[in-house]
Order: sequence, then structure tokens, then C-alpha cells
Amino acid sequence: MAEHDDDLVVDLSGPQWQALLTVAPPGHEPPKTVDFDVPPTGGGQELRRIGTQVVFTTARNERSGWPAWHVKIYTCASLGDAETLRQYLNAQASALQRANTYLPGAARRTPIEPPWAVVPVQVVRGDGRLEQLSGAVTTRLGVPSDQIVAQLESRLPRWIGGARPDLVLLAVSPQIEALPWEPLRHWPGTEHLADFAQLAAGIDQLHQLRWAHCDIKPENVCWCAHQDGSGYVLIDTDAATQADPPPRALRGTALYEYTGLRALRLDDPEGLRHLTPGLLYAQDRFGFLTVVLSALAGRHWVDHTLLGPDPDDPSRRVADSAEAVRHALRAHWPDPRWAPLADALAHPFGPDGRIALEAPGPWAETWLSGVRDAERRCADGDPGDGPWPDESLVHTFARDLERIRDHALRGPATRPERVHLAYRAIGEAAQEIALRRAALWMSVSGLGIVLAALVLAAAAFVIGE
Amino acid sequence: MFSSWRRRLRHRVSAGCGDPAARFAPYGHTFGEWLDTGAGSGRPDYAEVESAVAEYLGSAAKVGQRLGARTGVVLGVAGAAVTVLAVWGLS
Repeated sequence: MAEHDDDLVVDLSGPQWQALLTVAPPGHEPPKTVDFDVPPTGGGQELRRIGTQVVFTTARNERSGWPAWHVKIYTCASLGDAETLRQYLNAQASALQRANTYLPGAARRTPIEPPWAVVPVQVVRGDGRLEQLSGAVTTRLGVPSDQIVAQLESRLPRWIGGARPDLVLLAVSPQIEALPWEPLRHWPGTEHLADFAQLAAGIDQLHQLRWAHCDIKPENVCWCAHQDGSGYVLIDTDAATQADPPPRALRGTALYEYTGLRALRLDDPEGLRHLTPGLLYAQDRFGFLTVVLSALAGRHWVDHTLLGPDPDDPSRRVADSAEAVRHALRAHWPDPRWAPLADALAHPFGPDGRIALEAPGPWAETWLSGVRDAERRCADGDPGDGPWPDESLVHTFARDLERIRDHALRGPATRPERVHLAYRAIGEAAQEIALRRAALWMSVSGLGIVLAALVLAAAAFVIGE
Repeated sequence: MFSSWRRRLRHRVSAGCGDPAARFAPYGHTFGEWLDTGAGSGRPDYAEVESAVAEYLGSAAKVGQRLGARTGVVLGVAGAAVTVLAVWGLS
């Protein structure tokens, strides 16, 4: 590796591919303390708490594959902790990777190229030894282990903090840009729905493997374009855990907590010790609902209305009742045409819906397909309820229409971004056309009158002579 | 003067045609699919979106036509008056 003391290179390789990541020194943020509750390696019930110091940084891939990477560098307190955490992170990464295996595409290079439903993570040992994930991917720091062992404390860059290499673990994953969700959508953003299919299938797949992400929320969902299409991807898999048997502690974000889990926690502070797999699946599905609703109704609506207090019973959230969600959605989209969509979106928040949320079988794909059916029912006969637009104008404005589509499709953008680009382009084209037409009619009428006056004046002059 | 006329035209187009987002959002995902594929795919719902966009542009053209014609009449009458006075003066 290391031409310079501060360089750190990670080598990832699999069948017929290799990525070489040059890790950048982190910024000036101090290391963050992160605790993991890890099942003991030798079996048994009690979780083992492992405290780590985590440094966040980035890396650039010098070979083919995804160019920008996110790197977390964990420093453990003891060799035993490092070994247990390594095994835990590997099991977590393996399960998450398997959730991507159903995605289409022959000869895919999943660890370094999309499509993904869940962003893949690779674990790298700080001591330079080879690490294998699911027998298919090997990871290693770009220095032979004997060199690292020989120069134990001097070979890792100084910015890691002088830790012993065998106490250090790295987790590397493709870096995907965060998605700026719109704050409010006064018309349902249904153009997002198609791109959620991949994510819904990935969540179902993860649950079939008896794992749960546990922290699905709008900021943990990014959008990713690739040569075969585009889709939403889950990131930040730190909280992912085996759901069956369930853990006895849970990490996640309180704001996006599933109703059943919230009730368990509020009834009894120790209640989370009695988690069930169904509650963990429901937590993921509830998170997925908040993400889909952020896309359709807006992020602000989700954070402040859906997850805000119910006006009829401020001790509860709107999200704790299907009826309250239905009312809130109908108030947000007052046009009655959206009623079927609002009903489909609200259903999982009610008692029947919650039974389905906690069921062990797949749920997300079926639910999303139901939402898309409901959206089609909203579209049936509308906006075509009014008279059919004048088709002859399509020929008149053919070049302008082409320009609007070209403008919207130029450059990489999510489908919703393209739609907004198109709205803007339509507004600009309308102004241009109006100006062109105004200039034409101003010339025709103005010159016509002047010419007529000239002819009349000339005629009067001739007659007068 | 020209810039105030441009502002008036811009304002009339915005007021007369409405916000494109409000006009086309009801088409939902069909609008995005029309952008991706165009109306050439033969889907009647895409053709409807395309016709609706053309109609929006058509209504902007009408707004321009009305304001242009009115401005033309005013300028034409003024020009005609100057022409008549000029011919009068020559005679």
C-alpha cells in the first residue's frame, strides 16, 4: 500500500472483479462511541455489549465498479471484542448481501455494482489478514499481513489514533447521495411508486432470511441509477439484526417507531426485552410506510402530521390509527379522486393492517402492488373526466413538446426530479410561445393599420390633387 | 416600456394558463412515463398527456396572441396618425 504513512488501501476482490479503495483521512469530527449488543459466539441467551470508537470517512475506488465509498473504522477495546464484532458484522453483511441476490441481471458484480435493494457492506480486518464473506468476496488491507504484524503499531495511518491493528475493523460500503425528499406534496407523488418495487422486494427477501434492518426511515433510503434502471436503496445497516430469534435490545430512531413497539416500550420500560420477530418485521414495514408516504405526501407531512399527535386524542400519534391517517391524507389531498389511494395507504395503520405488518410472510411487495392498483383506480377516467385535449395542437407544438422532453431527460435525475424539470420546461416554453405569438400579432395588426392608413392618406392626397 | 410589457405578458400567461405542476400533477406517474417514452408508444393515456401539454402551450399562445394584437392596434393607430399627419404635411 502505502507510499505515505497516511495512506490506507483496501483490496476487495471476487470472481473476475477487483476494487481497490484508497481511504481518505477523516475530517475533524471526533470518533463516535457506538455500542453493539452481540449474541455470544458460543450460543447462550445473554447479549454481549461491545463498545467501539468509530471514525467515519470515505474512499475512492481506483479500479472498475462503484467509484465513491463510505468507510467506518471501528476500534475495539480487546482482542475478544474485535473477534466477536468481526463475526457479528460478517453475519450481518452476509444476510444483507443475500437480500440482493434475487435481483435480476446475469453475471452481476453485486458487491461493487448496483442494482441493490440494501447497500452491501464488506468487513476488512485492520491487521491485514484476509477476510472472506460468504466464500465469494475477499477483503484485505493493501499490505501483506506479515508486514503489518512485523511493524505492528506503525503501519496503520496515524489518523486512526494509534490503535493496535488487530483491534481495528473497517466496514466499507458504496456511498450513495442522500435524497432530498420534498417537504410537501399537494398532489400524490405517484411517479415514485415504480422505483419502490426493488426496495419492497429487498425488504421481503431480508425478512425471509429472518433478518430485519430495524432503522428504515426517509434518510436511510437513497436513490441509485444504474445501467439497467433505477431504484431506491437502503443504507446504514448498523442496526440490522437477526429477527428470529429476536434480540433483547434494539437500535433505531424513536420518531419512526412502530406503533406496537412504542406501546410495548411505553407500557413497560423493560418491555423491549420481550421482542418478537413479528414486531421487528413490523418495525421495518412501518419504516417503509413512512418512506413511501414521504415520497407521496412529503417529508414534512410525515414528520409533523403522520408522526405528530392525533388531533382527536393527543396522547396518540396520527400513525396509531388508520382512520386518523385516512382523515389526514384526505385533508392533505382534498380532491376526492385520491380517495382510493388514501384508503390503501391508511389501511396498514389500522388493527387489521397491523396484523399483516407483524406476519412472518412477505408483505411489502403485495402492499405496494395494492397501492399501485389503488392509484390506477384514482386515475381511471380522470383527469379525462373533462373533454379530451385538442390533439391537433400536438402537431402545432411538436418541436416544443420534443424540447420539453429532451430538457427533462437530460442528465441523471430521479423520476420525480425529471417530472419537476418538465414542469419548469413547460412553464418556460409557454412563456416563449406567448412571446413569439405576441410579437407576430403585434407586427401583423400594427403594420396592417399603418399600411391601411398610408393607403387611405395617399388616396385622399391623390383625390385632393 | 418594453420590459413592463414583457412583465405584463409573463403575468398574463402565468395567470391564464396556471401552474404547470398543478395542471399536470393529476396525471400522476403517467406524466413521468410519457416523459420517458413519448406518445409514440401508442398508449392512449400517454397521448392524452401529450395533448394536454400541447393544449397548455396553445392557451399560452392565445394569451400572447390577444396581448400582441391589442398592442399592435394601439401602436398601429399611433403609427397611422403619424402617417396621416406626414401625408397631410407633404400635401
